[in-house]
Parts: sequence; structure tokens; C-alpha cells
Amino acid sequence: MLPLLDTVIGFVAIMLVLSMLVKSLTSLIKNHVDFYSRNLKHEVDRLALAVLGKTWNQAVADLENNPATQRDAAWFKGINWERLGDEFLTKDHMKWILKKLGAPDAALENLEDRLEVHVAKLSYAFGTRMKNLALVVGLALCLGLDINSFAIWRTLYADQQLRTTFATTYAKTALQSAENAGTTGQKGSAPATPMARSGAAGGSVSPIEEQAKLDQDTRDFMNKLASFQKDVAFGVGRIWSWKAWQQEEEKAAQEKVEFGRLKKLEFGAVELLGSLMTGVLISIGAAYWHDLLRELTSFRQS
Amino acid sequence: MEGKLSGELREKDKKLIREIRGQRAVWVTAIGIIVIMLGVWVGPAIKLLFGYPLASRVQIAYAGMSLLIVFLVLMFGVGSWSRYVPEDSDVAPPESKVDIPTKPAVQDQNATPREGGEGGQANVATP
Repeated sequence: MLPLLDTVIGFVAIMLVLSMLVKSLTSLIKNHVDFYSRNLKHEVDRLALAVLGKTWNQAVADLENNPATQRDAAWFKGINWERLGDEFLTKDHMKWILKKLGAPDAALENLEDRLEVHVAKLSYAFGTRMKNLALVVGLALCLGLDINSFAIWRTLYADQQLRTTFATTYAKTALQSAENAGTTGQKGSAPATPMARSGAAGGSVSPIEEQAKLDQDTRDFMNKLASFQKDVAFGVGRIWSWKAWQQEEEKAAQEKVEFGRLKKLEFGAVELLGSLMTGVLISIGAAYWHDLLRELTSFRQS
Repeated sequence: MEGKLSGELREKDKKLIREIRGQRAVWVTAIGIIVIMLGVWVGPAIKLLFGYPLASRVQIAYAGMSLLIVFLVLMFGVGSWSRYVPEDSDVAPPESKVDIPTKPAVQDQNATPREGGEGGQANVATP
């Protein structure tokens, strides 16, 4: 019973570390590619279309064509969507803005309820996109590095020393780093909001500081990845490794089977399936693996 | 009125998304087939240059399949059609004009009077 429990704990610890790596990488990509402001602009466009009967751009162009409102048009054109969050979509802000754009009073009734719907749609779109991005990042990482969950499980189950190390020291370190990184508690917690982006909310962080932080995050990620590859070398990159191919060849020789095309293909297929499975498993989320590992560790201790 | 219009809009969005999806699916499949074919035919050539096992066909096929999987998930999961609206829908279609009520709210005679109120509750037609 204990070997199996240790194997499960070691495996879950590895999944947790991998999930955190994916989280870091997703966060890095999110900071480079701004999905949020595009969706925010779209929601404002939708609202303008419903209230004014024309899109935001058309309404601003109309203001621009009118000499009396040309100054307002310049202000509207100067809005930097990348620096705005959903706090922009408040009743007072939008009422003032839509009135400036020519909305009649009657069209502004129920504005608060409408805004709630738009904010909900915005959060949903952003959350869904982040989850999809995490899945892609997880798959790319596992397939690229060939992180095979079958090989990891098999090795942990077969090697007692490795199993004990991963079930105790490694699991403890993984739990600690997850707690430090704020991956605690709720299963399936919502993805980080765009407000977590450095400087997105108040614009108090300069671009140089923002770039420095991004560089630091990239370095941290690379260090964590190198450390993971070193620790879990037995289940990573087997398809790219000359040694692993030799081992497979020796294994086939011991079994008195020819290491021919079919055997090689089988080896490749197992690696592909194993990596694919790891990608799917880690897409469940770091919070889930953290909770599971904590419960399993306390069960082992008791 | 608005319900009908937004329904029409949604149908139009869906149609556009389907069209984009179809076009991209063809591209993705074509690229995938090219990658795999390249793997199969270029593999032996690289093998001559670099030797075993760097250029083994299995490795190249693995790389091709991995790229294809990641590319497909990326396109379908994070690509423009995964959003609830197409990117270019910021141009208002002609039928999207919404009736904006400019008349005062009509009193509904059949409505139950409010507590402490005298008349029926206004049945406000909202856009």
C-alpha cells in the first residue's frame, strides 16, 4: 500500500511543479499579448451600437466632423485601451461618455444592468481564453520536452529510493513553492485578472520597470525549467536522448526481439501519448494538484 | 424588436465564425500533412548528415505530430474564432440599427398599483 501511495504522492508533486511552470509561462505570454483590452474595446463597441445605433468609431468620427465637438473627439481618440480595465465600465463613466457621443436620455435607462452583462461577458471571454492558452502552453511544453507521464509513473513505482525522495522532500518543496506562489485553496480558481498585469491598473509602473520585471520573470521561468529537467530527468526528453534509444535497443536485445521499425514506432507512439496525457493532466490546474498533494501528504503522515 | 435583431446578429456572427473556421481548418490540415511528409522524406536526408538517432524518422514524425497538435489546439482554442465574436464585427451591419425609445413611458392600465401608489406601474419599453 505504501509504495503505491508514495508513487501517487511523487507523481502528484511532479504534476504540481509542472502546472506551476505552465502558469508562469502563461502569465508571461499574457503580459506580451494583450487579449483583455481587445475584448474590452469590443464590449464598449457593442454597448455603443446598442445605445447609439452606430459603432464607437462611427460615433467618434461624427463628433470629429462637427466643429463644435472636435475637441471631444480628440479626447475620445486618445483613449489608450491597453491601459484600461473593467473599472472603466461603470455607470457614471459610461453615462457621461455615451451622452457626449450623442445618446438620448431614454436610451440610457437600465444602463447599469446592461453594463453588468457586458462586464460578465468580458470576464468570461478573458477567462476562457486564459484557460485555452494554459492548455496550449501545457501541451507545447510536454510535447516539446517529451515529458512522459507513463515513464514517470513507471520509474517512480519501480525505484524505491527515487519514490521515497519524491514522496517526501520533493513533495514538501513543491507544496512550499506552490504556497509561496499563491497557488492555494480553491480548485479551478479563476485565472489572474488583467489587473494583475504590472502597471495595467494605475499606470504607475514605467515601461522600463515593466520590461525589467518581464525579463526577471523569464529568467525565473528558465531556472525553474532547468531545475525540473534535472530533477525529473528519468521521464523527460527520452525521445531526443541517444541514451534512451540505446536502452530500448538493449531491452529489445534482452527480450531477443529485433529493434526494428515497428519497435521504434511503438517507442515513439508511447512517448507521444505519454506527453499528450501529461499535457492534459497539467491543464487541470495548479490549485487542484496543490490541494490533492496536501491531502495525500497529510494522509501519508497519519 | 431588439431580441429579433440581436438574434439575427448572432446568427450572422455564427455564420462568419463557421466560415473562418472552415478556411482555417483546411490550412491547418494542409500544414499538418506537409509537416508529416517533410518528416518522412527529409528524415533520411538529415540522418545521412547527422547520423542516428538525431534524424530518425520516428523522432521527426513525433516532432511533426507534436507541432500539429499544438497548432490545432492553438488555432481552435486561442484563435480569433474562440472569442464570442469575430474580430471584424466592429462595423455596424445595416440591420443592426436599434429602435431607441424617445417617447415617454406608456402607463399600463392593467398593472397592479404599487403599494402607496396611485397609478399603474409604468411598463417601460427598453431597448
